[in-house]
Amino acid sequence: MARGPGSFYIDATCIGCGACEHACPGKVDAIYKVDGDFLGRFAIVLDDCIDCGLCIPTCPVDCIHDARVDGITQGEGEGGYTRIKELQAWAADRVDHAD
Amino acid sequence: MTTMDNIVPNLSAPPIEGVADTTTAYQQRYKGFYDQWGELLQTNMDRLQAGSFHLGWMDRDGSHWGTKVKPSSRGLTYMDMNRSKAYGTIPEKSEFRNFAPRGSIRDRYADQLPVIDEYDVLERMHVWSDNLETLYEEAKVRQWNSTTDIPWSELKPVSEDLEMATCQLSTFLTEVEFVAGDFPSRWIYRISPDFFEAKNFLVSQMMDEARHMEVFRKRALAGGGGLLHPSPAFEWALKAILESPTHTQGTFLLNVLGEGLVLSIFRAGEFLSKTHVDKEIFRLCMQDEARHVSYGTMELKSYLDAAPNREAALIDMHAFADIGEQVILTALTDPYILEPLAVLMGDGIKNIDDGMEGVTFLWATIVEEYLQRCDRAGFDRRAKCTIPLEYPWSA
Repeated sequence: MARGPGSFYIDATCIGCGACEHACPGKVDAIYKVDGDFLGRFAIVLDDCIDCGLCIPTCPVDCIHDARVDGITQGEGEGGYTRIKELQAWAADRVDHAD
Repeated sequence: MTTMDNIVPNLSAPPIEGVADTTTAYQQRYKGFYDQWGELLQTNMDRLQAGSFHLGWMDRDGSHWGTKVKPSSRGLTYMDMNRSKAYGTIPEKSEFRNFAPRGSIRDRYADQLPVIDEYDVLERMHVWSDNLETLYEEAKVRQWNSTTDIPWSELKPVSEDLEMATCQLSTFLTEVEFVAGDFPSRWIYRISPDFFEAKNFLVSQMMDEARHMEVFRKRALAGGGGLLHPSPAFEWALKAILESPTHTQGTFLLNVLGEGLVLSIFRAGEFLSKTHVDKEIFRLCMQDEARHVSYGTMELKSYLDAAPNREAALIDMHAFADIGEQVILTALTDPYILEPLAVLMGDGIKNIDDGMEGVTFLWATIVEEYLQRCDRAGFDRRAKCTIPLEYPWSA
């Protein structure tokens, strides 16, 4: 029987330390650094993930979730690392006004 | 000419005139150990003279001979190595204060091996984190070179006020990077070789910090400005980090709080960079800082989880954090740091008030990110934090 996609995902509060990438079993290798993301965040290829969960204990910000347990939070995440959105909004607003 | 007859050192020889006192002291010290290493030397010489072989190194009793580790698709990592129980069991407390590697046949040599008195960090909980090995792998993959990986020739001139702000920020970051490299160096030497994974990661952190110090020094000069003012307020914070009484406490102050603060600044790098060169510097430094912050957070968690008396450990850490946060706050309120940030955020000195509004958001980010790291480590500082959650700035 074919395996379905995995259930783990990394939310937007990832700080890009990369600890999870190397916890992912070598043959699976489902975690990758997102190209072009200034914050250097990582993501999981759902089709490759085998739901082993080895990445979770390595994360220093608790940003890896099992959608079956936590649900899906649109990748936004919770906690202190979401505060940067306020700074981003402030900066975007300044650019809009300058235009 | 050295012969078999005169190979034994003259232990009673008087100090040689002109030799430095430190050398004389060293000579005396090792002559004092002669009954230990001299016996080994004599035995070896006797064997060589007799033309006989020892072959004791082929005795596999007590070894883990037959262990074969298999590389993963990424290569042969420490995670692959440590799947072997014989080699991958990290002791709670190290019994060895010598250089014999974990997994070697070392018990039988315990009486002959020297004791390295300086190896006094012997408990795993003071250095370990659950992501240590994976962070070390990541550190090796993400190394970069500030000489060639920054497009220095593309650095475009900006207005003088923005260049001054960039140079002042670079001066501050150079100061930070010194202590961030020096702190691990103070401890690596003291950590038992049984925890070599921690030593290796800390060496990678030192290399990262050396590169950061290098890149910010270069940035200050590359735009035709130069290094500006050291920050006395921040240097007190750096001193407090360097002189932390334990490795865990210092790692908390450096990586969870100090480097965390710097990580927050780098994460705001998109709004602080006035050129794509600056943006690339922030981006590359940020990925390194993230590893250090990650280690610090999980090391604190590991320490608290393993503490024989968690409540006592928490009381002690809170007392340490009370003063640690205050010295970092001294730095965080310093005009030599905040005002350049405001000038960069506001796009010039004429907009410094506007930029201070951005700094207000940055402050909240710094404090909230710090508190989240503490939460993750099981160290609830929310009710105790002595750094104001909101920026104490009255426009």
